[in-house]
Amino acid sequence: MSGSEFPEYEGSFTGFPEESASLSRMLDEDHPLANRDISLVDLLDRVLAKGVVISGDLTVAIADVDLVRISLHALVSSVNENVPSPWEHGHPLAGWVRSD
Amino acid sequence: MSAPQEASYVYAVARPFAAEAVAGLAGVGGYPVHLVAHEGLAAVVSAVPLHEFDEEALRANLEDLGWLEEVARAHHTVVDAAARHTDVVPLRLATVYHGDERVRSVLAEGRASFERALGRVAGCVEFGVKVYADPATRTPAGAEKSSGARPGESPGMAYLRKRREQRDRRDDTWRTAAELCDRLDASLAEWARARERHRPQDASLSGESGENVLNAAYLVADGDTGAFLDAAQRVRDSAPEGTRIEVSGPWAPYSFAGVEALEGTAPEASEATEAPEGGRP
Repeated sequence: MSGSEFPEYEGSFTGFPEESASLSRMLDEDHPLANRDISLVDLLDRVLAKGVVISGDLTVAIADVDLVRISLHALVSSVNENVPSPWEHGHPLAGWVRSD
Repeated sequence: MSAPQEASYVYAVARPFAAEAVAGLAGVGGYPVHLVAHEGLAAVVSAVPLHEFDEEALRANLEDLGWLEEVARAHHTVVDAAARHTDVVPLRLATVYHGDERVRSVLAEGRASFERALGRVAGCVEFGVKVYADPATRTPAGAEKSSGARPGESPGMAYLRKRREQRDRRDDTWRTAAELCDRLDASLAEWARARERHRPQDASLSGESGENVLNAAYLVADGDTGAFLDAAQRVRDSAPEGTRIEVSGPWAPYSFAGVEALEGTAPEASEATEAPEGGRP
């Protein structure tokens, strides 16, 4: 490799729905999201941490932060037991969750 | 306890649309979906057993990943279906009321806020954009040189040198990733109405390799989605080694529903940063 800065790209980008497809193709399907595998973490980012928060009749007593924290417990405890501390930096809810 | 009481689980508030669009769907818990309309607004609702969603049940159920995932996906399925037919403001998971009459009064009381929120997301979809930095995938510059101990170098010195090189490589990857984030954001903002940041995802939760350094959402007008995705593609194609860009969507505009607006403050007070003017030629 004679000083090339980007020697090998292959396998570097694994995150796109279709590796070789144009992103625009995503819109061509009738129901772009219907059959796609949506990451649960992406989904929870939206349905828990975002979305309009208005007080429901039944969840008033559960503070917003609690709701997120409680559900996050479920996520984290589901992660393989070999991960000793999931509360490191970069946590999706860093600052909302106590690290002790 | 006698017969199970019912409660109303609300997925979203929308402009009125044909109820058939959601009538066939299985909502949370598999329960059917209906609309509760009130003066130009429609709540998308399922009747659910009260005891599954009261505070006590929620505290327990939210700790159960199986339950959480099922409800989250069902919630999303309904929101997504509605969003294909009309403008929607998605509500957070597990917003539950004592029956449809209460839902109607929430629509009436929150009318101005819902109208503002709907106006903000009208005719738009959301895209998720994430940037990862992964020093491990980077080929160290001059890797050959650093492999073994140099002549006259003690094993301890070689070890320290290698550690230093690793650290430099990592620092360099962060810097490269930060620059990429700026470049990406500048390209995407041109085609976006607003942007919002999510907290970076922890790799142990997402299962992705590398560190998530940017987790953002962009609100894009329907007519601009092609240009937006093309812009993302261009930056992605030129992303330096050791970095990775992922795009998800289109989503219903979850990240732009806006908490603040519903508290009665001006829409400008929203956390969403307005994209620069002149996005469209």
